[in-house]
Amino acid sequence: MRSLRAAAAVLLLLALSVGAAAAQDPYEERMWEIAEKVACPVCEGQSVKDSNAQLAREMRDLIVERLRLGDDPEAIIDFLAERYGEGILMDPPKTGLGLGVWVGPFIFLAAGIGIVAYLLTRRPRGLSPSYADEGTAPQTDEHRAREG
Amino acid sequence: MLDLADIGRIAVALALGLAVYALGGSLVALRFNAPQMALSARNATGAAALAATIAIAALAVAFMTRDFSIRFVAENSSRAMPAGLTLSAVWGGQAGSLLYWSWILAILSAAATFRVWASGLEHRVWVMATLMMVLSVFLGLVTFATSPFEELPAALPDGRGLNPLLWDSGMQIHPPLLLAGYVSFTVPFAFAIAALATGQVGREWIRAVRGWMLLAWALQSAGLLFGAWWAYRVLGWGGYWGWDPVENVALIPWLVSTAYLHSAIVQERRGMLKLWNVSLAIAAFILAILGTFVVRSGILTSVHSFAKSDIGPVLFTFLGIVLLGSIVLIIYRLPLLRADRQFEAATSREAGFLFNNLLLATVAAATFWGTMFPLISEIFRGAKMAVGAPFYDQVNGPLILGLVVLAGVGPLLAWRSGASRRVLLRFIWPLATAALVSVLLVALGMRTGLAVLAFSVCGFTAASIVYEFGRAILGYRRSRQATLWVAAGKALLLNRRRHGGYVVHLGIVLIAVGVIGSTFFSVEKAVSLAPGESAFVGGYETSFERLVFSGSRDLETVDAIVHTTRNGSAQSTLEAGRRIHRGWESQPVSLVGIVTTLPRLDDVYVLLSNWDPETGGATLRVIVNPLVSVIWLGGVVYFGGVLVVASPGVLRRKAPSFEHERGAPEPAKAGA
Repeated sequence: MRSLRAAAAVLLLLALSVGAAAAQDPYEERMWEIAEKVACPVCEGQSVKDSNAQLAREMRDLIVERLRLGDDPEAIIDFLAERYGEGILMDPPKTGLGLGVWVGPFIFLAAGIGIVAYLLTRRPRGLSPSYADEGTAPQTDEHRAREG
Repeated sequence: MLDLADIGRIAVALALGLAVYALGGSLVALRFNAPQMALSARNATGAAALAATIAIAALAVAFMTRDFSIRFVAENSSRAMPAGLTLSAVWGGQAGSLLYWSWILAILSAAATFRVWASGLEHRVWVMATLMMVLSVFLGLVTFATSPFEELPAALPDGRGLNPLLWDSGMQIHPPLLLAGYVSFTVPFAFAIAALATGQVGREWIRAVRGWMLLAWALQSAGLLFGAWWAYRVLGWGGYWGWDPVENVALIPWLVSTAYLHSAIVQERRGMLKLWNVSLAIAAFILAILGTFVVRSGILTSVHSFAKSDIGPVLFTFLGIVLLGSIVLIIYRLPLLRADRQFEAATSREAGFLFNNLLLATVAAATFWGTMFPLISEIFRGAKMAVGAPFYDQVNGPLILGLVVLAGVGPLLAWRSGASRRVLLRFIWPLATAALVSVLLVALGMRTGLAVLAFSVCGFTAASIVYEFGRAILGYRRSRQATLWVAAGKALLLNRRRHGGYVVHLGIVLIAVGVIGSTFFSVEKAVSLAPGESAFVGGYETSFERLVFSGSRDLETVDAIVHTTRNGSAQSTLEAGRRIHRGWESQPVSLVGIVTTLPRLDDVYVLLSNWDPETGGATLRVIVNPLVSVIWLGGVVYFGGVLVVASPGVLRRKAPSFEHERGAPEPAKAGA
């Protein structure tokens, strides 16, 4: 907690020195893109882009500063992750355990497609045509059109 | 002399006693086939609802009379709060919202029990027993774990008050609707358990449960939409949906119940997907309780962490028992859950419903997975990994777009048979519309391929719905010789279920248009301005006039007066400010300035992020959000459709249409 406060103090100084100049800045657009991918460490569940907290504001300024020094977005995100911990990445890394979150939905979809494909290609059981037990003629498109 | 806390406590205990009695009575009635016992238990459900009503009324009166001898009242209200807001503090903390939860459940349970009484003894008693089991658990929590009627040793002169972030009229709408939505999933669950227990898993339970599922789904929809609206207007981060864990867990039951409302049609008409429908009704309930649990427990960090508690373990155990019991029941009844017949064509209407369920279930599962992943990563890594908006946008975005496509494709397909030439011909106008939309957008200068595609999809589906309405109206007009307007009204109302559903789909398309516009084309900038200076953001000139300070004993306000204009068009004035409440200095609340421009439908959204009282300068966050107002319009259309679907005519026609459908399925009447 103390180191966080120290970091915040350093950031505050940094922010004060750049703050005014950062306003109308060509780097700002890129900054918002980066800020969207980083969670604000002191707020619950908001990104640095969305948060109005002091620290988030300072982190936004810090991102602009790093951009001005010529860092590329990945390097800045890595830098922030190193400073505040990997937990601040909004977008889980696509390696190691983080890959799991990305793979999950595809497994769900694949399993679902498998079940749907089975249901659609399964042939009627036994001899009775599927509509015989209903006692009606097959519902054709003509019925529907007539009802229109 | 009884005080309000005593009355509340006694009423809760009485309600709990009656619920337990009704549960016990139900079980006795089932075991010994005793209709008199069942009747007594039924009356107890009504009495329990009455007792719960007295309890919540006691709490409401305690709030209104500022009875700060009650801890919950002292913690969640203060004399500075206006009356309407004070009343909504009932659900502003966890003990009160749990009582509100139980009260709604008690009322719904009694209503469902009395309404189901016409059905067979075993069935109705099982419904009642399930409802009373859930009610007993929640009233038990209110009684023994977190009572809102706990008293302080001495009355305080003033209360702490609600978090100022909640000082908004949204507080009177969003939480009660969403909580009521969560609770309402209990009734379909009770019907599903009764269906499994009695083995009557055919059309009857699907018909009996339809209105209740519709109610739960509509309440959940309203809770979600008002939540989005509230977040956008008040919370001040520029968006309406952030894939926050609490938002996700509220969305998941909505997704599951939406899937159910579609797949139930297939069972009703074709006798298929029985296992799936029972599972969806149970899953919606479990996920809804899980939603309540996650909001309350603080196991997931969220912007919604207003009310935390330690009732987690009890709820978690309860959920585990419900899940296990349901699985056992389903396995026991597997032979009865077989489909009456098979799918005949992969391009039939029922297959369309199947694909709809595939996508909805995948979105629900992916959202669940992403929401729970931080916990999983904590187990394996010791540190919570965050899963934020980018993940959900990338994973759910395409799936949801696929659902919008299906809303356009499905209604054009025929039941049972595959895509014939006649069916394919119906696609001409929607496809032509989609092509027209994409050509127009590119011609107008839109160069974001994904956005063009997404808008075209919306065009396709909207055209398909309009085309289907047109066919219904023209068909009616031909057969009855009515004028066009009469035919339009009659066609809409004659088949309220199907056509109301189409109106809901239109609402969804409008919401999609707003989401696509604001996701792809939002522009954001932070600008530091001295009074009189201006800046350009997203084509709008934003000029800052001055700061206005005002204050009272409890509240300090600073407002930035801002004017916006585009290409010299008429100026709009808006105020973006901050409120600082006494006692809550660390949490200043944003006052968002929003103006919707015509005819472009851009929202210019201004936040005051910093200010200098000495120079009078301000740092503004200016966000230009295109088409967000279309989302709210879509919400209105959506609920217009819900009203058509739920209008009483449908309920009254229920019994005859059942016979009718059995005899000869007529899709245009019986409706999808």
